[in-house]
Amino acid sequence: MDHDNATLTIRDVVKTYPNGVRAVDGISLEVARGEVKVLLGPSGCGKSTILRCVNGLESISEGSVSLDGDVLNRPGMKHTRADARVGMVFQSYDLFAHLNVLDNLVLAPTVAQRRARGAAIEQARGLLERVGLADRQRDFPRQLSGGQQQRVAIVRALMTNPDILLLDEITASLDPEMVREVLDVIIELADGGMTMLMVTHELAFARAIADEIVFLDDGAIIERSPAHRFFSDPQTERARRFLHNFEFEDIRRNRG
Amino acid sequence: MDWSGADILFNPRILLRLLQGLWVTISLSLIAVGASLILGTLLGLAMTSRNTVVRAVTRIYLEIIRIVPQLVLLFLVYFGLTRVSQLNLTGYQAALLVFTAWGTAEMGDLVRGALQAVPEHQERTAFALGLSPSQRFRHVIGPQAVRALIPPTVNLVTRMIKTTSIVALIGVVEVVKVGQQIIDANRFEHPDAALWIYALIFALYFVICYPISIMSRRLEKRWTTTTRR
Repeated sequence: MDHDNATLTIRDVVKTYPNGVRAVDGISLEVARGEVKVLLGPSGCGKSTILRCVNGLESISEGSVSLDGDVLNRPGMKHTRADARVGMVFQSYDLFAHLNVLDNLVLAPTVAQRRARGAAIEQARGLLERVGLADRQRDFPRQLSGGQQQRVAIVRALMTNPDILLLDEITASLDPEMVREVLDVIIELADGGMTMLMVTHELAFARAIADEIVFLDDGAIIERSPAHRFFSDPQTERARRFLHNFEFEDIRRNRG
Repeated sequence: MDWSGADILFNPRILLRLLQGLWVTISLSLIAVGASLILGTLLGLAMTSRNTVVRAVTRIYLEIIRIVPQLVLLFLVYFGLTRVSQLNLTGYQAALLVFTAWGTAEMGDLVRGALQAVPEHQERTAFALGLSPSQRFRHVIGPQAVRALIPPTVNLVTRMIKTTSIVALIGVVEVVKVGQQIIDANRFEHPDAALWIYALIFALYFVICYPISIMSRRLEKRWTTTTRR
């Protein structure tokens, strides 16, 4: 691994909950600038927890997380807010219900980053244009479809100009026909060189977009492979079994 | 039906007395409601505190005030507290104290509920966007709680205004008591005065309370319409 070029470095991170559960059990990985990394694994394997450990939503028990050498998280660190260089998009969009689209977008730049409102609005309009929602600036979240809300949530995370974007199952709550419009936004971001660490259950999407797949189980990394190899030729038995869950071809044959 | 009894309402002396009684009701309500909204907001914030002692104390206060009927509280303060503590409270002052204590408890619980009703993910998202705790409260949690607070607060305020009529029982002459006095005094000349006087009092309460609910409906509408600015 090329550590010099690493944007995000997760080193030996352990997350133990007060009830003794080890959600993350000594994970190390790097996400280089411009790289797209996908965390895969069965539910409860700790992949979402890792994302939350990166931006301080979760304290960590051991190890460290750093961004370009600046420590983002280490044991005992108190987090009152996330580092603005780390953007995050959640499964349930979580737009601010009392604010319209534009106000959702300019809140963090103007309040947390103290940038001028005019410039933030300018930036917001440009980004909305790119995700095809330029005409929805004045709408409130409840007036938008799930797919539209999630596209706004992605734009909102971009508004602070983060160095890395964390995506936590961003299509898991969407109706199937809305998944594509959201993933297209992510593909465009990846093409634009955005650094991303994501958890997803869209395997075809993961295969298409990921530079590397990191397969986890029980809070530990089981396998890491380039995307094309992981899906066609997984190196571990556990990854093989995991991938098998998503295959239906032989079911029909066996029943038939 | 004989409408002639209604002429009691056109007696300026009687009207003036009713308005004086109404002023007692209004001033008592205004002060108690105002103090309750402010103190209740503080109490509500305390009730969401992470400190278990603070939470327990505020909870006990709320439960006690809630369990005891307002009338009993009133008697307790006016007849009991004044005797024990050598405190010299007028009925009006005792009423202010009790209504503020009651309103504060109820308002505190409303504020607590409104704050806790804001989904946790709103706070989490604001955290992830780099907002500090005070910024999260001011721009995300607070505004949403206030919107949720409007309908139950209006309900509480009108309930408080209406309940002030019980202060007559500790000798405070507010609008309903004035009405009773007028009815009693005019028993012979106006045997059906009760109908007209109480009808007028009914209308007066309506005039006070209706604008409050109109205002709340406007606020709610403003906050739920599609376009702002």
